[in-house]
Amino acid sequence: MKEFLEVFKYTFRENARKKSFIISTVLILVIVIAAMVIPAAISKSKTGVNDNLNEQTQTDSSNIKTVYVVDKTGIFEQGINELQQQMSGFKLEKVTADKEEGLKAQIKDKGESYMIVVSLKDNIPNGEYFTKQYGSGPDPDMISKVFKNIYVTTMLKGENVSEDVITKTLADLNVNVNELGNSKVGGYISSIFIVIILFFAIYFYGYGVSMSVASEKTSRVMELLITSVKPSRIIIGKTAGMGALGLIQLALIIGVGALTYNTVFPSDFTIGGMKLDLSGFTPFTSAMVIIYFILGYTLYALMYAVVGATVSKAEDVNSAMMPMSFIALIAFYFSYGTFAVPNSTAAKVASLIPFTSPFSVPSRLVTTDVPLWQIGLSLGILLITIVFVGMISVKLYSYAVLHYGDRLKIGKLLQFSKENKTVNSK
Amino acid sequence: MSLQVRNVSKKFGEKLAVNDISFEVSEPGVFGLLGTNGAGKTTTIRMILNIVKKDSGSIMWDNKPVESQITNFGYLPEERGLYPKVKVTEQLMYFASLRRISAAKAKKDISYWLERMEASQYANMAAEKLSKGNQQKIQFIASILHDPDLIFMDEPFSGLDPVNTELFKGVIHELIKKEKYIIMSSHQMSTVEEFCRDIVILKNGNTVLNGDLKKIKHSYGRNNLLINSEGDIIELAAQEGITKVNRTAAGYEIKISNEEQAYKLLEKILNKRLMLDKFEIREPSLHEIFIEKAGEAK
Repeated sequence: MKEFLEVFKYTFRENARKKSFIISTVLILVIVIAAMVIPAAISKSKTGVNDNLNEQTQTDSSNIKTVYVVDKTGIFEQGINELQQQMSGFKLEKVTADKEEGLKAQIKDKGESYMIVVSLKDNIPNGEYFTKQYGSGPDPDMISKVFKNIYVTTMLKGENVSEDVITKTLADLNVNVNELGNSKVGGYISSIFIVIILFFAIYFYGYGVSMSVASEKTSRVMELLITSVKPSRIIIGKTAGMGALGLIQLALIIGVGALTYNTVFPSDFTIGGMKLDLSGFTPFTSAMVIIYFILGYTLYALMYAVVGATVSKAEDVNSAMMPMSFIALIAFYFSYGTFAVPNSTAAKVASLIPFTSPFSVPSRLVTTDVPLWQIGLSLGILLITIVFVGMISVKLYSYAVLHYGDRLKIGKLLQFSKENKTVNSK
Repeated sequence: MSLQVRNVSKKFGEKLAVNDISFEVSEPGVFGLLGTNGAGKTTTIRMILNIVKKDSGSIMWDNKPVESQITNFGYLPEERGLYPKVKVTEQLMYFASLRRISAAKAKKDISYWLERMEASQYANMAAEKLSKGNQQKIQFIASILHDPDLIFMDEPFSGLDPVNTELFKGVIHELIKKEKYIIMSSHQMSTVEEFCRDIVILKNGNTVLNGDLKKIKHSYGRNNLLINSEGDIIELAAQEGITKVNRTAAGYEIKISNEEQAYKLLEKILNKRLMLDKFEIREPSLHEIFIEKAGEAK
């Protein structure tokens, strides 16, 4: 136990002090903060920009773009001033129908003006909106609303309806959506977030274990270590030390992320109209995310440790890592593909396979209600796999760390370790 | 206490690395594990340390297998094994902690040994910045820091300049005085010769010579003659029927069949009034024995 703690402490301390760790932590935190502050700042300044635009239109008339209106219905004859009021930022100009084709060509050519043609279709006003490129001129929804308001007002006035009633009639009716179950759409974003974070954390720290083992082997410190401490203590101590560091970094990122989120975003913030739903993050879900990170990391790190032990030269690490990276990537995409439909059979299967469940279950938990028995079964399978993989890893590791020369292939490694079980390995 | 190695063999695939080696280290002091490159010295040490599994035979220290949990042993590997980017003191502290030494004691002992090995100025430097010889000093400290009873030194003098070789020798003499058991592998015979009481010479995994070094030398007899003179010794020697004469910078190295031959040759030299700086009849050196035993019939 003492040796395990010493290896744990040393691994933790050495890696926490590394420049690469400090820089990557700071960088990730900056990115996380920036990823939240920038959209928030943009969404805030958008309203500000509109205000600025209005001010500009009054001072700098040369910049104002013209919106030509061709009214074939005669309904909007009186309302042109009102239109101009509601469409501030643009200069409205009424033109006759014969200029329509000429203006179209002008818009297509220069794109500096826009045209709205209103005609009657089945006795109801219908608008045609011409612009060089969609999105550059006034918003069609806004045009529709403005024209409709004037149309309704004119119609109601014709029926001698009082101003008061007209105003009431035109008031927007807001509908607030209140989801009572776990939000599927909103949770989707948190889901992607969790899978990506877990994947990178597990992959990055598994890789760290591999590199650390490989460097001890290539620097030949291994011989000294292995004659002082049992190999199982080294591999487990190292895995745990690296994992603890990963957990702290992960907690730091999530903590800072949550804090920034709460600070910069108004409570009703939406991404493209989708409300970011964090209600899925219950204490239970958060605990599960941590548990699955720990278990998923342990599973991958134990295998990564063996990979690190098979190489004799530092430059071989990456090629030795290839098969492992494939497993991780396939697992990642498999679970990534399933959480879009969190209750599909594929998603359920992904929750049970030990290599995919660390990504799949936490993301499903955020979007849907996963039955407890599924979580229990998934955790059970994962734990059994870890024990099994751990035992094999310790054995392979003990053999591989003292093998110098060509990089060991897994098949050869298994065969050798069967023949040459080191007495020290347990 | 004694280290017993009995009938130990090891194969790597089809290649026989060590074949039926047996020896016993029953008294404190230095035991020489000698051999050419690839003779099986390192494999033998690794088998004793239980990091490579032997195929057959038994290895016992104090009637128990050698294991880090039971045996207090130290190991100086053949190649430098240090964390390249970690400060010297820090890694020594780590190695000490793995050997269950308290931080306070480790700190004290590390500064003592750095001082003793004349390496105090490197205490806060990363290991990779040190020269090969200085790294060897740190490696040496790591192997004896926990005051082990049984110490394995695989090529301890490689990469050392003569001054540092003397420094290492001094420390090894101290360890001998402290009644430590030292198993030293080397192919630098002259440096080993002054320490070793018993030796094993390995060749391609086989034991070619085994036993007390003094007795081995004695058994060869005093049949080496060293003469340092300006005259032409070769011709005089030929008259006495001596044909094995080798002229070196140090003088003439002559193989004689008995001491009588030597005295007759001395008489001839004196009669001719040749200048004579040195006339020595001696046993063969370990170097010569080694060349004969390990070098013959490749």
